This record gives sequence, structure tokens and C-alpha cells, in this order.
Amino acid sequence: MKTRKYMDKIFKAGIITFSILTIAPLFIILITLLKWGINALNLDLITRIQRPVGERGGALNSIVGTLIITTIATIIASPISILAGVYVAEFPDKLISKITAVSSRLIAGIPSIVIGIVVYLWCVKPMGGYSALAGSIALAIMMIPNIVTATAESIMMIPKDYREASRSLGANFTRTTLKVIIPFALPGILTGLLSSFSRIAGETAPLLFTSFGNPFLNLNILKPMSALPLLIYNYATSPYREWHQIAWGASLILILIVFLVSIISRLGVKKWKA
Amino acid sequence: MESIILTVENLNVFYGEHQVLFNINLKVHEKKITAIMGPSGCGKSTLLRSINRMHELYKDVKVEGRIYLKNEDIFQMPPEEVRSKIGMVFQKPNPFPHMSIYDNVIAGYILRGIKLKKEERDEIVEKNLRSVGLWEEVKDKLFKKGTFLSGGQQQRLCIARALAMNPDIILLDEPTSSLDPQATAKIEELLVDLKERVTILIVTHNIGQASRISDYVAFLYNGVLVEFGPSTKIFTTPENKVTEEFLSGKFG
Amino acid sequence: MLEEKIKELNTEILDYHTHVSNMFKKAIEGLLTRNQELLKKVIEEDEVYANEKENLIDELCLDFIALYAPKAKILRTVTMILKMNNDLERVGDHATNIAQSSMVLIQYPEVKELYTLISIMASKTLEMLKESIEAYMKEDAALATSVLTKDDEIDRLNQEIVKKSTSLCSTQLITPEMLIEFTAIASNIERVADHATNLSEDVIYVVTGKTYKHGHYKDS
Repeated sequence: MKTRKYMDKIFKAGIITFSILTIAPLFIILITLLKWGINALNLDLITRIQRPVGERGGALNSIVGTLIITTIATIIASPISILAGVYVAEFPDKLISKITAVSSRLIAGIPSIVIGIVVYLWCVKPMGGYSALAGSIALAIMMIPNIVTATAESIMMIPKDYREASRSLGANFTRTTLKVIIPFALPGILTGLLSSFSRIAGETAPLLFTSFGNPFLNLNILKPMSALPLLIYNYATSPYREWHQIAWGASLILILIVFLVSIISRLGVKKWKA
Repeated sequence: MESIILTVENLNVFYGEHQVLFNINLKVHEKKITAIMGPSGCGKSTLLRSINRMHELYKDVKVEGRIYLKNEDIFQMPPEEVRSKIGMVFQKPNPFPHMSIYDNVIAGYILRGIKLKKEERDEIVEKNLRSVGLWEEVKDKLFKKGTFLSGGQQQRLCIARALAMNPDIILLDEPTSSLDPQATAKIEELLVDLKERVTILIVTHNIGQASRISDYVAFLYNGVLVEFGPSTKIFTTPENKVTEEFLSGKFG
Repeated sequence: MLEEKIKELNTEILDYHTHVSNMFKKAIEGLLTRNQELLKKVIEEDEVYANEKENLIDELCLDFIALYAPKAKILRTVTMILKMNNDLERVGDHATNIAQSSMVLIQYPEVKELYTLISIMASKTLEMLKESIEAYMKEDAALATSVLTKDDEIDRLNQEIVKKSTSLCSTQLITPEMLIEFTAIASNIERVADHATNLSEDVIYVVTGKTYKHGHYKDS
């Protein structure tokens, strides 16, 4: 009798302990980032571009680069992924639909560096050089699985009543999808976009072979462009303390961007639903 | 002189290998209420949904036979055209939740890409909301989403939505089975008023409802049309023994 | 919805009531004014219409009950309309009988005393008929009850006519054939008054839910 009571207590204690253990890394990371990065947060960081050691430099070109590359990646990935998601959800029995669903899952399993190398072969080489566009393409490929799945699942959750109501009014498949199904599924789709964005914002490996990096502020997507993960990689592995500082600052900014996008999207979805 | 607006000829419907409707022949009278009644699973909804070709949204359903709307074969028309002439109201009220009440009424036009001038839109919305007795209740809240409406009001909104397309026929699939008695009574009265404007075909498992509002009754049993006739005849002196048993409550 | 349908039934029964009341009036008038044409009309045309009307109202009531499954007051109303229909058909029958007897009597010279008594008895009966339907339309149980009290007077008049005509026959002022017809007419008028009483009892039931049958309220 007594052993059972003790076993119960030990088990409960165990569960709590392990829960804390899983949360711990998150806290450790955040605290470390804040500790080291908060000193680096100054106006220079966000207003100045990279400069050689000794001169006052910042991360402006990388911040701009990250924003441009991820935005274009989203623009490339969204239409095809959303439509693919619609197809998978509405016609689950067709062969192409089944292939699409499986392929989407497989893409999710491909290592990001492999995607980078392949895009190098197919985009960078033919284009004659590194470019932000190639980087966006690589990141777009990585976004596909999340968006397709989110879209398909959101749509499949819609009760068939609304589809039938729309069709019964004389609307065809296209109009029903565009004006009833997608608006309905929009919160789910946006959530998918958001989680994809969070995923790719910090990807380094693909960008190494595609966007490559650029010490100058560049707005031309057909040319190499810098990005925060690239900056962090280069500066953190350098021997210079100033650059280490900047790397911490850039890390903090990267996290802040992801958080900000997350919060804005969630608020946007809430307001939409109202 | 009454005229026939819809003729169903030798209709057979199969779900895969399983036959659900057997050689249905039916003539629907214009501007009258025809009720299709029968025990659960007898094929009433299947028959109704054949008329506006809803089965084509699902694979595995095979429909054989002919259906004529005012002498035109509906299978020779584009399905969207059929559905603009034959509207439908479903068992569970389903106004579009992301559209306002105003937009819900004209949803048929929006979804078919038909552009209307503002005056035309306003007129259609007011006319049809008045027809279903909702105008006074919602005229100040037209641009809100319809989710705050009660079940009965939502269903009346769905009826307005179907009416707005000026169909020849409105099909109703057990429209009051999810509503309370007061809401049900309101909708029954509404349907009796509406038949001056549009032909009504209603599926119901409620014998009382069929007897209260219908002019003609079709009794379906196990996928077969057992008896059809004016309500006064069917409910007082049915000819078929099975009809008699059903009305006496021998089986549900 | 039901209120509209009941109005239709009421219109029919009111119509029927008017028709058979007129049959009764015409039959008596035909005797008193010795108008053979009038009497013929009652027997040949009005009676046919009366029978058709009864069938129609029966069917309408049956349909009403089948379609609407009425309850409470509306149920009482419909079932009573069915019963009133029956009573009114009998009134029509009696009016026809009176007309037939009158056809015989107008072959003979007028018998002033008896004609006067018949006239009084008929007009009181007609009044009972009128008030009973008025009580129905106005849902006036008090008026209906007052009709019931007039029945005794009718019985008295019936007996007086029988006595008078018997005495006239025994003094050979009228023939035995005339005696038979006079008593028949009096008896038929008395039956009409009886049906008027039934109508009034039905009205009381519809309005109050209490059964007033055979002279007293039924304890419910």
C-alpha cells in the first residue's frame, strides 16, 4: 500500500522534472541571448552596414537582406503551395493529388544543405552567379510542406455544408473555392505561412550556396545579398570581439523579427475571425 | 388549371453497387407544396438531391433516368444553370459565416460573379428579407455577420438566400428538424405563404408537418414511390396498405 | 393558419343553416299562402341541394381533422360542426316532410284556427333556429341556454294542435286525411325545434367545454 503511494509521488515528481527539463533549453537560450545581445543593441547595429574591423559597423544590410529574401520566398511558395493544398484537400482520390501529398512530406525531410546545393546547381550556375533570388527559391522549397499541409488540413476541416450551400446556389468549383473555401480556411492557411516563415528565417545552409552574402547594402535580387544567419555565421567564427558582439546583436534581432511576425499574424487572424 | 413544373422519369440512383432509388416517376405541380415523406433511410433526401444534381459533387453516385424542368431536360443543361433555377435549403442552417447578413442574401449573385448595381442589391436584400419575415428583425444589423441569429432566424436567412435567385423551385431537406417548435411553426407558415411565388418540394420525416402544409404528398418506402396524391386524399383514404400502416404509426 | 381554415368551415355551416331555415320558412309559407309552386321547389330543388351540402361539409371536416390534427377548442369546434351538419340535414328533411303534407292540405279549404296555431308554432321555432346559430357565431353560451328554455312552449303548441285537430275531426269539420297531415306537420315542426335545441347544446360545449345534454350539465 505504502509503496504504491510512494510510486505515485515519484512518478508525478518525475513528470514535473522532465517537463522543466524540456523548457529549460528555451530559457537558457533566451537568457543567454538577452545577456550577450542586449549590450550589442545600439543604433549602429540597425543603421549601419557591415564594415571592416575597426570601423563602426552594423547589421543593416543583413537585416534588409533577411527581410527581402524571406518575403520573396513567401511570395514564390505561397500560391503554388496553397493551390496544391486545395487540390490535395478537394480531390484526395486522384493520383496526382496523392503524389503531391506524399512529395510534400518528403520535401520536409530533405536536409536544408542538400536543398542549397541542388539550387546552386540549377539556379546559381545557369544564372552565372550567386543571387538573393536563388536564396529565395531554396527557402521557398523548404516552405512548401508546411503551407501545403496547413492549407489541406484547414480545408478538410470545413464542414461540407458550406461547400454544398455554395454549389446549390449555382456557383461552380472555382468560385466556391475562391470565395467560400479559401476565405474560410484563411486563418489556418495564414498560420501555415507563419510557421513556414519562422522556419526559414533562420536557415543558414541553403543561403551559403545561393545568396552567399554581400558586405554592401544590396537591393538587387539578382545579385548576392546578405542575411542575418549568414552574418551570424561569419562573425561568430571570426577572431574579432567587436564582430562577436554584432553576431549576438544580430541573433537577438533575428529572434525579435520572428516573434514580431508571429504576434502580428496572430492578432491579424483574430481580427479577421471577428 | 394546375400545371406540372417538374417531371421525374424512371429515376434510379446507385451508391456504388447499392441501389437506393427504384424507378421513381413523379410529377410536381407548379406553385404548390409537395412533401416527400417516409421512414428514415427510404431515399427521400437522395431523391431531392437528384433534382438539383447535387450527387455530381460526389463520385460513386450514379444517377439514371430523366428529369424535366418545364419540359427541359436538366441533364442537358450546365449544372450551375440547373441550380440557379432550383434552389436548396439544408437541414442544418448554413449561412456563410464569413459574410454579413446582407451579403448572405445576395450570396448567389456574388458566388456566380454576377455584378449588380447598388440599388439592385439593396432591393433584392430588402425584398427577400421581408418575404421571410426577417427584415424588421435585422434591418439595423445588415452588415454584421449572421452568427448572432437564432437557429430559426438563420434558417430563414438561408431561405431568403435561395429565394433571392428567383428560382422556379425550392428544395427543402428537413428544414425544421434542428429547430424548436416555435421556429418550426414560423417556417411552416412562411412556406405556405411562399408557394404563391415559388414551387416548393420539401422532404420531411414528420407526418404532422407534411399534413399541415402540403398540397401533394409522395410517400417513399425503401426507395420506391409507394403512393402519390393530393394531401386530403392520402391522409384520409390512402389506397396502399403500406401507406396506411405508415400513417398509423406502425413503423417509423 | 388554422384560424383561416376554421373560418372556411364556419362559412359553409352558416350557409347550410340559412338554406335549411329557408326551406322550413318556405314550407310553412307555402301552406299558409296556399302556394303550390313554392312547396314544389322545396321538395324538388332545395332538398337535393341540402343532401349535397351535407356530404360536402362532412368531407371538409374529415379533411380538416386529417390534415391539421386540431386540439382543444378547434377540435371541439370541428367535431361539433360535424354534429350540427347532421342536425341541419334532418331539419331539411323535416321541412320537406312539412312541404309534402302541405301539398295535400292546400287541396282542401283553409282551416283558420289550425293555420294560426301552426303559424305561431313555426315562427317560434324559426326564432329558436336563428338564435342557436347566432349563439354559435357569437360564441354566446347564455343565448344558447335561453334557446333551450323555449322548447317547452313548442311542446305545448304541438299538443294543442293535436287536440284541436282531433276535436275538429270528430265534429267532422275536417277529414281524417287532413287530421293526419295536420298532426304530421305539428310533429315535424316540433322535431325542428328539437334540432335547434341540439344545436344550442353543441354551442355550449364548444364555448365552455361542458357537455349539456339531455337537460342538464354533465359533471366532468
